Formats: sequence, structure tokens, C-alpha cells
Amino acid sequence: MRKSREQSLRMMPGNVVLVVLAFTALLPIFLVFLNSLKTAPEVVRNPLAFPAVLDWGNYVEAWKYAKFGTGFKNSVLLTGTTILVVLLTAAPAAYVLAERKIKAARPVMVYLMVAMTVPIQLFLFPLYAVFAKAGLISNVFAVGIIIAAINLPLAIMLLRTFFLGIPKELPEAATMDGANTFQVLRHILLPAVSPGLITVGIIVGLNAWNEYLISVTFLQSESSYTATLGFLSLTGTFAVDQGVLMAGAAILILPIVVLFLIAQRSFVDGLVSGSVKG
Amino acid sequence: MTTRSRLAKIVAVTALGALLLSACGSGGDSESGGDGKKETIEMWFWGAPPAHQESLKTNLVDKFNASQDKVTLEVTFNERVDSNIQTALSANGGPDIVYGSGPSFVSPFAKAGKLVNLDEYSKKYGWGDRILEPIYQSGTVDGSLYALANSINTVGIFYNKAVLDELGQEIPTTIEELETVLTAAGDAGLYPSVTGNKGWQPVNENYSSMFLTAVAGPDAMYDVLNGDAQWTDQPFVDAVEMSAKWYQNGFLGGGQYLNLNFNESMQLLADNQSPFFFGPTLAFQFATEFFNDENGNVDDLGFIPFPTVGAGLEDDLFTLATTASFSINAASKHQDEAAEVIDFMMTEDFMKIMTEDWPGYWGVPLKGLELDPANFTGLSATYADAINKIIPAVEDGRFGYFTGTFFPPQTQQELVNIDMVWLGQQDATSFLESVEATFASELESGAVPPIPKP
Repeated sequence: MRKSREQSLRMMPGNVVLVVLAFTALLPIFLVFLNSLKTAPEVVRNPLAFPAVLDWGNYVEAWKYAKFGTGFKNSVLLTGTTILVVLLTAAPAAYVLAERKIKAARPVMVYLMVAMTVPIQLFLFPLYAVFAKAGLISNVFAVGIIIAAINLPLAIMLLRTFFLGIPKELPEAATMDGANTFQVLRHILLPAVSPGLITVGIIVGLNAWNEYLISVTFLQSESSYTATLGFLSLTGTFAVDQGVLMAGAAILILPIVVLFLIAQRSFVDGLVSGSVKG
Repeated sequence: MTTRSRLAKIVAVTALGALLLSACGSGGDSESGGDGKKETIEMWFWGAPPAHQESLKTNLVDKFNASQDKVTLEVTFNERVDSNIQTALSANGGPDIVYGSGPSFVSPFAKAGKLVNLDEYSKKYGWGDRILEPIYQSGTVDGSLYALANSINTVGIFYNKAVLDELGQEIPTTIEELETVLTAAGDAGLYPSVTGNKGWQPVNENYSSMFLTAVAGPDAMYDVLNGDAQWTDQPFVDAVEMSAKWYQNGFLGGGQYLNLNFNESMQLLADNQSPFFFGPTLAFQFATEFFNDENGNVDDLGFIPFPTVGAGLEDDLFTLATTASFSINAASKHQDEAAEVIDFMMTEDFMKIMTEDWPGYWGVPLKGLELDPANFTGLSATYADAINKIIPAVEDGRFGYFTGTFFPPQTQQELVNIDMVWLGQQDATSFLESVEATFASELESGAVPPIPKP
């Protein structure tokens, strides 16, 4: 009994810190939901006050004018394209670099590291010119490929560390049993690095879902808008209906929160294993 | 649970989400899509709140499309329209109708051949006869028309009549009267005025333009913008020093300039916390949220020009600005139809219906325009009244120049930094020396847009 009390006392500072951190993390989300139920003047007058009347109409307006139906579909397609392209290309590339299957492995590594440091703004104009010429403006899949390309260096470097962690004997044994390179990769190595694939999938997926600069530049027709772009179309020069804007933000947040709650173990495990390996 | 099954779970959840959202999304597509048989002409526009999006759709898109059997107009709202259009134009892409931020934006793209010369369309539609001369001139490059401004805008004073009554003050008409009311409001524990640049420093350009117009005046500004005077001349030093004095004694934002944005300022004005809000007529577009029939305070809000200060200047001077400009993309396949859309927006009928729904953003700069406020409701009537004061002033040459519309880009940015003087980090003379150096270089490089003579 006494021991348990001592243990509680010992854990108290940590718990207090966690409560404070949880509060600071949840408060902004709470305020978004709170203000999403208020009229614009109410939000401006006091963003911390409770609404006089719950105004659910903001959600209807935000959904309609931000075109979230189309936006979420496009966000999912864009994110899915990005994850798929990254995983399909980064995994073999990481394997080749980890196993030094090519002579230029080191220069390629240096190139990838340099590529990670180059700001995308440098490529924006020429890339736009090429995509415009090819008729790929407002094409969600094409933009998914651009975002995949931006994320590839990090994904390859990350997955390479997972491949390096696999004992050399494993692929060698498979090769001795007659497996070719593709079979070794498909049946032996990829299952072994699946935590890495999850990590990369999560990181790249979140990057793609939250991506703004490329999307806002390349997705120009409203039918190609992602949820983020639809949300931002509600923001005017000076005129902004804060209540509707907050409702839009709440709608934007919701799918991510739900997805996180459903698959939170995978998120945490993936990110933790990524941080250790990386 | 194994990592493989976790992976499968995530994929399954994502796929399910995609399926559900795709189902939800089908409705949105049908709403935004164009007519499959007609070709689409595009116009990119700033992001806008739902009521304004609806207004533009009903009054422009639907009406224009109803008159067409070959093309469908599609307006896209995007908060990064300025930079997107620049990227797209540079790459020979972009919308048919080019939404720009004014003469400084138009000039380089016109010179680069990215915009259509509108002289022929101007003749066809008679724009030169309809549009206010200074505004028309501001859209020209080397004597040819490349852009038409959608709306006239000016910086002045929104006042709350109820607060003035409470303070026992009249609507000020001179700078002395204005300072008396500002002092009285401060003494009564109110904000002398409400305004601020919280979140967006370029708001400063409203006040640099307002003080330059009121203190230095139109002729001095015209001379300096044409290289016939120096920015370090006394009228400009006086203007900057007066703005700094007003900032420091609380007349400009009541000591809260850095903590207020336009929405909050208008809210405070509606809550009778101040007699004045200094700002652009653009602010009418969100003032309707705070001054309306529901709150019973529509009649409390009024708009007056900032009083003149400089010796020998005429009264009722206005800072001339435009909200945006429309041009035609040289790469457009539908240039005639794009001109038709622009012409549609440059009419009194369009101005009236837009002003009723969206006051503050559609003061189409038409010659001899006189609106009957009785034909409008709510703040649209107050805005119509303001327009009735501004248009004759522009026709009479009683206008100064808004930095964001008429100044070359780097000089404009220099003047946004006027808060360095307000905050005591620089004195007015050294600030203007820096402006002079920047402006001289831009004048030499031909970056100064055409300056209409007052």
C-alpha cells in the first residue's frame, strides 16, 4: 500500500507534464470545434467563449462551398498515388543501395542527400511548364507522382537502413535454394522490412495529405482540388467567415483523427521503429 | 498482431475511406463540372467566403453562361491566385481571364507578351468612353490597354454615428475636428480609432498611401512618381512624420495597431468601442457582418474621406486604388469570349447587382456613375453613397495614389516598412532616403506603371 503510494508520488511530475502536453495539444482542436458552431461576429468578438446558439449550418456551408466531397476523394487518390509510387520505387532502390549492387552506390547516396536539401521552389516553374505542355495540370495522379518524387530520397535512405539490418545469410540462403533477385526481394526481404514500409508509408502519406505548395500550384480546376485546397478556397482577401472556416477546419481534421484512432498502434510503432532505425 | 496484418489493416481502412469519400464526392463533381458539349473558359479568382462565391456564381457565371451556346465560364476560387497566375503565365498556361493585382502586376507580363493587347476590344465595346480616365490609363502599357480594373477603392474613415453622438461630436470635416474627436474618444476610454496590421504587414500600405495623399497631395505625388521630385522633399517627410506621430500617440489603432486585424477592428467599431475605423472601402465587404438589420445598427455606419492636411490642398481628396484587374491571357483560345466576360463585368447593371450582394468589391469605375442609395438595402446603400463621392472626385482629379496600385513593387514594399519609423527604429528622412534609392532604380528600369495625371 505504502509502496504503491510512493510510486504514485514518484510518477506525479511525469503525469502532470503529460496532462499539460495533452491539454496544449487538444485545446486548439477543441477551439476549432467550439468556434465552428458560432457565427462569424461571435468568433471575432471572443474566440474562447461558448456559442450563444449552436450554429450547425456552418458545417453545411463549409461542406458545400469547400466541395469536401470531391476534395476528400482527390486527397485520398493523391495520397494513395504518392504512397504507391514511393513504396514501389523506393524499396528496390534501397535494396540495391544497401547491398551495393551497383558501383555508383556511394555517389547515388550523395546525390540523394543533396536532393533532400534542394528547395522545391527551384523546380516549380520548369516543372509547371513541362506539365502544362503535357496537359497534366489539374491531374491528381500526376501531382501524386511529383510529391512521390520529392519524398523519394528520404524514403530510400530510410528503407536502406532497414535493409542493412537484415542478416546477409537470409538472402544468400534463398539464392542458394534457387531464388532469383526478384523472388528474394519479394518473398524474403520485403516481408522482413515491412515495419520500414509502414514507417515510410505513414511519413510519406502524411506529407502527401498535408502537402500544399505543389497541390495549390498544379491543381487548378475545382474538380481536382484536394480537401486542403477546398478548405483554403473559403479564405478571402479581407472577408473571411470565421465560423464557416472553423467548420471547414473541423471537417478537414476529422478523417485524420479517425484514421489515427483506428490504426494508432501502427502509427506509433511505425514512427518509433523508424526513429530508431533512421 | 504481425506487421503484415497491421499493414493490411491500414490499407483496408484507407481503401474503405476512399470508397466512402468517392461516393460522397460524386455530388460535388456534378456541381462544379462544366457542360460537356461546350468549351470551358476559365477565370481564377481569390478565395472567397460562401456568400461571395454564391454571389459571383449567380450574377456572373450563371448569367453569362445563360447567354452563351459555345462556351461555359468557370470561376475557380484560390487563395494563392496571384502567385499561381504568375507561374502559369510564365509557363504559357493559366486561365483565359487573368485576374491581377493592378498595374504593377500587369506591366511586366504585358511587356513579355503574355497578355492580349485590348485596344481592339476597347474600341469594340467602347471601354475608353465608359471607364474613368485615370483608371483606364492605369491599365495601359506603352499606350495600349492590357487590363481593366474591376473596382475603384479608396482609403478613408468609417465612422460610427452612435459613438460620435455619445461623445457629443459631429462628423469631422477638417483635420483639426478629426483630432478633437480622436482625443475625446481616448479621454473617454475608447479607442481613438481602430485599425491594425495583425497577421498581414502590407496593411501598412493603406496608411502610407492615406497620409501621403492627405499631407503631400496629388501634384507632389504625381511629380515624384514621374521622377520630377525627390522622396526626401519636405511634403513627404511631413507625411511620414505625421503618420508616426499618430501611431505613437494612439490615434492610429489606439496603441493596439499590432494586435488588431480588419475584422476585429470592424467588430470593435460595431460594439461602440471607437468612433472611427481607418481603412479601405474594401472593408464594406465584411462590415456587413457587424452592421446589419439584425443588429439594428446599419444607419450608424458612414464613410468619409480623410481630411486634407497639406497647405493649399483641395478638400475631399481620395486615395485612388483598384482592387484587382482583368486581362486576357495571350495563350487563351477563347480571347473573344474572355473579352465578352470582362465587358459583362464593366457595366452599371453588373455593378448594381454585385453591390447589393457584395458591397465594397465591385465599384466598377464608370464615368458619370451616380447610384441611388434608395435602390439598395443595408450597407450596400452606404457603399453606394461612398461611390457617389469617389467617382466625381476622380473625374475632378482630386486623388492621390495608392502604393499597392501605382507604385513599382520594390518601392511599394519599402513603404510597407513605414512601421519602422512608427516604432522609432528609423527617422522619416533616412526612411525616405531608402525609398528614394529604391524608386530611382525602379524608375530607371521602367518598372513604374503609368501614372494618371490628377
